Order: sequence, then structure tokens, then C-alpha cells
Amino acid sequence: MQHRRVVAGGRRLLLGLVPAAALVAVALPATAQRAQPCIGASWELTGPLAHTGMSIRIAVETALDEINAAGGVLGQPLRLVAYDDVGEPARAVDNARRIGERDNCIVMMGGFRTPNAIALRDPLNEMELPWMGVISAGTAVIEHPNNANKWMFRVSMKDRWVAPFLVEAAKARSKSGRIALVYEGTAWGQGAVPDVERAMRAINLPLVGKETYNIGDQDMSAQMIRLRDAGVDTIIFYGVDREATNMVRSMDRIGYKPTIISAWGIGVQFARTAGPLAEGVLVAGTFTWMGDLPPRAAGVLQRIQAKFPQITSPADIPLPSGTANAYDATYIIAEAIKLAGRFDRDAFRQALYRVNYDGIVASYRPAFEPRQERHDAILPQNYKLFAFHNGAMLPVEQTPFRQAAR
Amino acid sequence: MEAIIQYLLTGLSAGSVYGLIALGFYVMWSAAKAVNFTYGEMFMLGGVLTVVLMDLGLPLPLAALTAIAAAAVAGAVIERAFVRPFNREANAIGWMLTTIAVGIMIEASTTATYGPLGRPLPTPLVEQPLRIGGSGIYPQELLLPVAAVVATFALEFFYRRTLLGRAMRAVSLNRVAAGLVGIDADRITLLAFAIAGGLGAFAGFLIAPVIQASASMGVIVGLKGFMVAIIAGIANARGVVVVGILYGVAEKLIEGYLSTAARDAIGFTLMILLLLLFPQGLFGRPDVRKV
Amino acid sequence: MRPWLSIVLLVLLAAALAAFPWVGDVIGERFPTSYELRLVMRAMILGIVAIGLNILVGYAGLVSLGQAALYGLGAHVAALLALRAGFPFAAALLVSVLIPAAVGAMLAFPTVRVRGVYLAVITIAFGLVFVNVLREWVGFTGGASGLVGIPRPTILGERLGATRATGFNYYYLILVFLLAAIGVQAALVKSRYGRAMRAAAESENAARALGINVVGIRTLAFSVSAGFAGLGGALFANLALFVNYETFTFTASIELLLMVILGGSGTLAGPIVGTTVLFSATQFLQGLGEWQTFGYGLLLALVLFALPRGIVGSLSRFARGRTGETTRETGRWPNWVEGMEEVTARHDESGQSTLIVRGLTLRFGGLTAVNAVNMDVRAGTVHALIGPNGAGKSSLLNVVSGFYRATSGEVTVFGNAVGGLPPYVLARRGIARTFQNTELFGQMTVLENVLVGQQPHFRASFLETVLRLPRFRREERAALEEARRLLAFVGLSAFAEEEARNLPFGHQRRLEIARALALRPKLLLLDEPAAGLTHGEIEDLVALIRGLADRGMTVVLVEHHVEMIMAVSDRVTVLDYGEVIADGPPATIQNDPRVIEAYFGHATLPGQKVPA
Repeated sequence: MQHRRVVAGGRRLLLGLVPAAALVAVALPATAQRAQPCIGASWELTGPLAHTGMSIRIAVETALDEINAAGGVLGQPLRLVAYDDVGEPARAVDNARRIGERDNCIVMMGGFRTPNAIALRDPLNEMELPWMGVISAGTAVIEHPNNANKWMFRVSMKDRWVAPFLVEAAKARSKSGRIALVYEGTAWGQGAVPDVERAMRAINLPLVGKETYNIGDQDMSAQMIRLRDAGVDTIIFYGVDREATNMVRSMDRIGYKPTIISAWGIGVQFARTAGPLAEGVLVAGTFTWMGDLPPRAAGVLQRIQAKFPQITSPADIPLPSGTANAYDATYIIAEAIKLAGRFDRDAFRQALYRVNYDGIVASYRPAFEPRQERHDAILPQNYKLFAFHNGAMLPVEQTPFRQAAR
Repeated sequence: MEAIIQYLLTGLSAGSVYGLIALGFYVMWSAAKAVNFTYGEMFMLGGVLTVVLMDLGLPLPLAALTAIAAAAVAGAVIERAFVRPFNREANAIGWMLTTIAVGIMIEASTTATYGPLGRPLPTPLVEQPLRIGGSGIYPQELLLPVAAVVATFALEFFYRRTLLGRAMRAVSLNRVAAGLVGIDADRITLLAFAIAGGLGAFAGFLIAPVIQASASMGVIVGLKGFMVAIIAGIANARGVVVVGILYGVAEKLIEGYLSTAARDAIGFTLMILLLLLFPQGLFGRPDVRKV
Repeated sequence: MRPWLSIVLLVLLAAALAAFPWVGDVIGERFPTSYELRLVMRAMILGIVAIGLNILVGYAGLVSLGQAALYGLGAHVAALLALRAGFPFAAALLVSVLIPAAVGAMLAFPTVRVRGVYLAVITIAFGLVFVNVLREWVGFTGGASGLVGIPRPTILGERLGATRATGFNYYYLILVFLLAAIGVQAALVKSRYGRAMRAAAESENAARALGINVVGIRTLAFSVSAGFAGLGGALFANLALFVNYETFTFTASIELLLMVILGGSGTLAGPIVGTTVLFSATQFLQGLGEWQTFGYGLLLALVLFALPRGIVGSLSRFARGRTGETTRETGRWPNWVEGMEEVTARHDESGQSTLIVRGLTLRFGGLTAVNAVNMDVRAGTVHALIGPNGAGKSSLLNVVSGFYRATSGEVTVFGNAVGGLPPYVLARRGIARTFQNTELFGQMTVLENVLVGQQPHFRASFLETVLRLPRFRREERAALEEARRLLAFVGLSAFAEEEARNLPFGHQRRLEIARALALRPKLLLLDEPAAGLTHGEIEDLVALIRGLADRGMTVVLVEHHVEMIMAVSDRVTVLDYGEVIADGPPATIQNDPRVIEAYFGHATLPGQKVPA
């Protein structure tokens, strides 16, 4: 009896361990990469924000293809080494060390989420590794206490500048002047609150309501009822597609239809999931791939679609601003390497302040300046307002919502 | 005044989802004294599979039925492969971990293939909300409490009036004795998990039009449904549904009158306190064991 | 596992870990970089937490799905103290251990009332509440952004770091803590605390009946495991210099539990093996990109399927399976070996009543199990309690031993009233009992079962136990000797290392008696000890009971075997429907018509003359 049990146990052991070993064998070769001129990336490939990783990846890889086709940088192809951080700060830090020490890349892109970026401050300083963000708009990502930021750069919006942009748009469109803020309970959302409050104070308007919600919340009736009862007719929104959809549904239930002006977090998927309720929602951003595109951008879109067949139309690019930012950022990185003349991190960093480049989001002349505030490449004059109209996210001038409602 | 009506309405629909999930846990627990931690994913598959099948061209009713059937089959497979072999001993928790592992696999493969974003599942019942004064609710959401009640009564009828149902009750009360009178307890447990899987998917399909079908929609709901079932005493079909609905309403009231941010903290603390006051659950029967 | 083998493996592990930072100097390559070093440090920290969880889950049998919250609590306490209150590293570390330990002790409170899955739900809820609080209390915890810029730790002016410049001192500090954790786990497990935890996990009732305060030992288990978690958290905070709620979610609790189970819960090496395997797997699987989480789940499912007892558990089972069957010799019993005399007799004033029951009534709702029963048991006698099934015999026994509380009436033992006292207190006063269904600690060895019975006799404190100070060693040695004597007494010496559940039934009965005697009781309550024994075994049992009574022990015996009762008892009380229907010497009882009626339904036995 003992013997049989042992044999059965042994068989089970083999049965289970063989596929397990195969699994490990598959995973193994992928980790053997070292010391090339490369961009190291840590982004969300999996998890609930995996679409941000995807949005960036398609841009970076397309841009690199173009750059390498034109001869690469300093005679070598520029490679991409990408790691998944599943949105976790600890993993982002791990990846930073891998990129900085094992892969020895010249620059790192991402952990894009605000807490990830914050967690990277110390390791980046320690390793003297330059970092380029393209999505996280949290002010604290670039503006560190005591002006200490030396290595972190960003091609994206900055909440401290986004807030006045949104507040201006809200003031122009609000009939009653009663404006409220709705924000998600994340580092980004919570971090936006002081920025928005400051911007409201600057134009002498009180913030009539301030509501938050948790990621994954399916219903915001409580918050919407409070805002409706307070007479709010314009909402400044800091959140992403899924919760935005649930929010407009909650509004629809109680027959409440305020103007919604959102920071860049809402992407094109919102039109799909909210359907007709998306009509008229305004979003700040740097770029949209829908509507009439200038020729260069149209060409980039074509190449993206060719390289990534799952992108059948601009509606398949979830975060249009992020994609555009990432495209420009990749080129800026290439330019800086060329200006530096060698694969050296400090030279690269210094060179960033000398990059002049015309991108699809903006003309960067120069891209960066040697003060912390200007480690952000995109300036407020390049911020744009988009509107959802007939299921597409178009520049607001191309929609009926271009004019302020006053 | 209107606010509270809104909270009750939304709470009713959200609570019915918890109740249906808890009902599924009840069915599985009573048949196997084990819990399927992938259960939230059955709920998710109900919504996601329906969307996928509709994208492939199937009409809505057929897509939904297929999704529910697929989840039922999945439930049975999970029982056979991942729960039964680990439930042999009295104090086993192996099933807890294997089902967690399977749940991880299901969610991960769905995210990898379907994508992480939510997709809409349009039905005519989410186009216009029903307005009651200053409150409103989508007709689709009203389907949920109806479904919960119907499911409860159907289950009770099944348990009381059909041979198969009575066999299932026998197994839940005393597995060994049921075997002695010729009931194949293993087969019954398999059936129970299949029923539960279908039930979960049904709930997912019903609510997906309101909240969109996404790969991660099942995780928190599954957890809350499980906790609701335990708080209710997991011994009683009506009990778990009632507690589910009550919890959904309580959540809304907390959001409305206390704090949105702290909703879960308050809600879960409430659950802990309830469990301390009623160690066998609100409707559970105390476990009298001879010393 | 042979003890020397585990020591060797432990030394090898310690040596490998100690040498790791210097590998680069030997092979001439840049390895390990800070990336690999920090990976190993994180793995060691998780190992510490996993060891704590192993004590809770594997030994005390309490499944906690909220351990990450305690880990996170330690991390945040350390971070806040360093960041906001300027605490030095060592002080912050201490507080980061104590606060979670206190919270852990509070978590034990629910175990008074809930078990198993119910307890798991409470721990899940606790974990979720903790995360919610961290995320929303922006002013205190930094909200979702967490706490950043934690000052680098220093000890006595020395900077702690994981780089060459500091000689990797923080790495070695963590290693030292890991080894200490391993040591404390082993010390705890191989002591009365570990035995008590395991006993309480297997059979609460038997544990209580042997003087174990079940709630107390569970509180200790929770508290110790939380302390380990807090230590890990503090070490983590000082390593990452950044904490936020995302590291400590429900998923993290699951991962910790998986590390314990995968390695082999309830084994000493399990948590280390499990942490290493799971942590490495996570790193490896990152190469799978989008499918890494899937691969993780798949790997888990496969390993759980192939090795259901965890890696270490399955390996030791394998090893044991190979030792083959050995025939063991059962000794005769009772075997009055030298020294048994002291164990068995604790004299009360002979002739006085050890146990007095007055007007005892026990009602369960509408059912009266015991009705106004009076009973006197003299010291040094064997007093039998008989009656048809359902007469209330076991209920009466349960009241005397504290498992049931009487509805009314009085029970006095050794001159003191015992109403309302919990079983473990009564056990410590010298009341031992056996159970109708032998409640052995099945997965513990025969010897360990007996050792549990000696629980109340240990005087060494917690600290003395963990540090293995001389008093602990003396007591443990003495306890082992006495345990072996008891096993010899019941003829089970050859089975000392066998798992109790593998014993044949008759041997299990013997073991239960030996275990009860380990308590050195003055009053021994035996609940149907002869059930299921062969005729010869019953004769031996009679000899044992008589021998004990002759040497001064008071024995109350609940039984059905009439010949046995007649042979062994000095006095018999007969119950029927909860009432005393006869009380006297065996010979009188045998012919009492009421007794015969109760058992057989009519006033005379077949073939017996009707009394005039």
C-alpha cells in the first residue's frame, strides 16, 4: 500500500514538473541581454492599465524603426529593452536597476504611473540614469522637493499647467459659475487636487464640490447627487475611461447633464463604452489621431498600423496623447545621443538641453532647459482641447463644441 | 429624500449581484465544503464571452446562453481537476490555493487575449433610464433583483421537489451517509459547481451592459460575494441573497452619508463586527458538536 | 529529516548567502549588480515574513489571508517614525515589531468564536480595510502616493547600505535577521509552545482537556507571526526608502500564503524553500511578457498538483515511504516500571470525597440531559457511571471537566467548586479525561502526544524557551524521560516515533490514557475506554485502572461492559434519562430491579428469579 502510494505520488510529480520545467525553459533565454545602446523601458504590459503600456510601445517601436532605418544613432541601431512592471512601484524600481546596471542602457523610459515614478527618484539618482516619462502628468514626478531633480525628464503634460488650462476652459463654458472637481483615488488623482485648487483661486472662483471615487467603482450616484444638488454645471474630471463611463451612466440615471472637462486620462475607448453619453465630453491632451491629420502624423499612423495589425483604425489607439508623446520622446532621445557624440549618460543629459526638434505634438526649441520646471518638454501653449463627437475624439475646433457656451 | 431613493435603487441592483454571487458560493459550499476562488472569473466570463461571441456575429440571446453554458462547463472542470483532488482531508486548504491559481490564469489569459479595456454590451434595456422623481435606474439593472429572487426560488424548488435536488441536499448534509444510500456524491458535487458557474455567468451577463465587460470585473465582486455568503451563514439560500442585497444598499448609504473614499473600509469593518457577533453567520445554524 | 542534515543545509544556505555579494570578485564580472543584490535582499525579507506565516498557518492551523497588511503595518510604522519623528533605525525597528505584534494579538480574538473559512474572511476583510485606510488617509500615509524620501538608516553613526562602500552591511543585517528568524521558528516549534499550537489545531477539545489555553496559544501564534511580519516590513521600508499601499494588497497576502504552502506548511524548511521558488519564478517569468501572470498561475497550479504537501512536505513523505515497514513489538500493559509510582499517585486525604456532585441539572433547550444528580466519589476509589445510551453519562463527565456549564447545581472537586471554570483550568488543577472518540493529535507522534500532556508542568518562560536556556533544557529532558516512562507503562515504547493516527485502535486507547496520565492528575475521568477493545485488552485495562486506584488515584469510569464494571469498580452510580436510579457497590447494583429494567426493559434478566 505504501509502495503504491509512493509510485502514484512520483508519477504525479513528474506529470506536474515536466510542463513546469518547460515553462521555465521558455522564460529563460529572454533574460540574457546586455550592454547595448538601448532604451530601457518599464511599463505596464499586463494588469488593468495595460493599454497605457501598449499605447507607448507602438509609438516607441515605430519611431525606432524609422530612426534605425535612417542609420540609427552614432552608426549603431538603437534598441528597446522592455520590462513589465504591472504598474507596481517595487517592480519599476527593480526594472530600473536592471536597466541601469545589468543592461546598462543610456536612458530609461517609464514607470509611468505617478507612484512608480516617485519610487524611482532615489535609484535613478544613485545610478545616474536619465529617465524619460511620456504619460504620467503628476507634477511631483518632475518637480522634486528642494529643486533636486537632475535626471528625470518628461514629454507630456504637467498637472500644474494642465489645471489652469482646464479651469480656464471650465470658466468659459460654465453658465452658473459653479464648478466642481471629480478625481480618482490614486496618486495622480489625489495629486491633482492642490493644482486645481490653486488654479481656481487664481481666477477667484471657489471649487463648489470635490468628489472622489475608487478605481473599479461601478456607480457614482452618491457623488453625482451631491453635485447636482449643489447646482454644479461644469465638472473638471481626473480619471480614466472605465470610471468615466460609469460616471456618465450615473449622471444619466438621475438626469444630470453637466459639462465635463477632463484631464488627459480619458482615451478613445470612452466613446465605445459610453456610447451616446460620450457626446460633448471635453478632454485635454496633446494629440489625437482622429479627424484631419497633418501629413507627417498621417504617415506615422500608417506605419503604426502596418507594424501592429491589431491597430486597424485610430480608434484602436487607446491613449492618443501618450502615443504621440512617446513618438516625439523617442526622437528627442535619438537627437540627444547624436548631439552628445557618445554613449555616455551625463553627456546625454547635458545634450538634452540642446535638442531642437520639430515633432508631431510641438516644436521643441529647445526640448528642455536646465531648471527643474523645464524638465517638461511640452509647454502649455501646446495643450489642446478635444471633444467627443459622433463616437470620435476630435480637436474641439472640428466639432460643434468649439465655442464657449456663454 | 430623493437621494435615499437613488441609493436604495442602485444598492438594490449592486446588492443583487452580490446576492447572486453569494448564491453560487452557497451552492458550491453546501455540496463540497469547499469554495471556488475562481468564482469571480465565472462572473467575468459571463460578460466577456457574451461580448466576444456577439462580435463574432451571434445574436444576443444565443451568445449569452453559450457563455453561461461555457461557464457551467468551466465550473465543472475546475471542480474535477482542482477542487476534488485537494479536498480529501478534513482540514484541507489546498483547494483554496489551486482555485486561486486557476483564477489568476483565467484573468491573465483573458487580459492577454481580450485586452485590458472594457467593452460595451449594448442591450435595449440600458438605453433609457427609468426616472422616479429625481432618481433613476436602468431597466437592465432591475433585472438583477428579479433574477436573484427567481434564482432563489428556483433553487429552493429544485432542492425540495426534485430527486436530483434532494440528492444534492443529502450530500450537503452528510456526504458519507448519502453515499451509503446510493448517491454518487462526486457526481453531485460536479453538478453543483456547474450550476454555480452558470449562475455566476448569468449575473455577469446581466450587469455587463451597465458596467461594461472587462477582464478585471470579477475580482472584487467575487471577493465581496464570498464575504457576503460567509456573513450570511452560507447555509441558507434566502439568507445569502438577502444579506447580499442589504450589503449593496449599505454600501450606497455609506457612500451617500458617510464617505465615498472610506466605503470599503467601513463596509468591511462592519462585516468583521457582524461575524464576531454572529460567528456562524447571520442565518447560520450554530455547529453543535458532541464532545 | 535527520537533524544533522538540516543543520548542514542551513549552514550551506547561510554560507551561500553570505558569499553572494562577493561573487563578482571571484568570477571577474559585474555580478551581482545592485539589481540582483536587492532581489536577494527582498527575497530574504519575504522569507522572514513567510516564516512567521508558517508558524501561524502550518503549526497553529490558522489560515490568514491578511498577512500582507501586518507586513505593511510594520513598513509604514518604520517609515513614519523615520520620516516624521526622526526615530533612529534600531528604535524604529523595535516599534515596528511591537505594534504589529499587538495588532496580531487582537486578530486572535475572533478565533475565540470563529474558525476555518470564517476566520479567513475576517483576515481578508482586515487586509482590505488596511489598504483602504492607507490609500485614503492622504495626510498621514501619503495616500496613494505613499511615503517617499525615507532617510537612509544608520546604526551608531554607521550608514547602512547594500553597496560595496558600506561593505554590504545592510545585506548582512538582513541575513542575520533571517537566520535569527529560522532559529526562533525552530526553537518555538520544538518546544511546548509548538506542541500546544499543533495540538490546538488538531483537536481543540483534547488540548483544552490537557491544560492548554487554546485562545492563549492562538494569540501567541498570531502575535509572533505578526511580529515577524512587522520586522520584515521595517527592513523593507529601510531598503526601498519608499512605501505605499500597493506592495501590501490582498494579492500580496495570497503570495505569502502560497510561499508557505508551496514550500510545505508545517515544516521548518518550507517557508525558505517556498519563498526562494516563488520569488525566483516571478523573476524568471517576466520573460514571458504579457503571459507572465498566466505562467505564474500555471506554475502554481502545476506544483500544487504534483506536490500537494508542498515541496518539503512531499520530499519528506517520499523519504519516509522508503524506510519501509518495520514490525514493532507491543509491550504488555500496565507495566509498572520504575518511577511510575510517582506519576500516578497524588494523594488526597483518603476516605474524603474527591468529587462531590449536588443537585446537578443540565438542560439543552428543551432537553434535560442531567436531572438533579447527586454523586460522591471517594479518593483513591474507582467509581463507575453506567446507564443506557443517552442517559447523560458523558454529559455529566463533560460538566465535571468543564466542557459544559451546568444549568443548576454544584460540582466540587478537591474541596473547591468548579462551576463555570474552563476545561484547561480544571485540567491544570489535576482533572484529566479521555474521550469517547479518541481525540488524539493524529499528525503528531506518539511521544509528542504524551509530551503535550505535560504542558502544565513546564515552568520555563517564553524567553528561556526561545533562547534555549538551561532551565528549558532541563525541563525538556525531564519531560522526555517521563514521557518515555509513560509509554513503557502502556507498552507503546516501540511506537514512540510513529504518527498517532497510524496506530491500531487498541493502541490509540492506550496512548490516550498515557497522555492523560502525563498530566499527573488527581482525578481521572475515563469515557468508555473499553469500547472497541478485545477481551484481553479489557483485562489489561482493568488491571491498569485497579493499579492506579490502589496507588491512590481517583478514577471515574463511564462504561457499558458490565463484567468490567463489576471487576474494577468500588462503587457504581446508575443513570437513566438523566436521573440517578441506583447508587452503591457493584454487587448490589447488579441485582437492582430498576437497573435491570432500565437496561433490558423488564424487571428480571432471563433465567433470573424474581426477587420476593
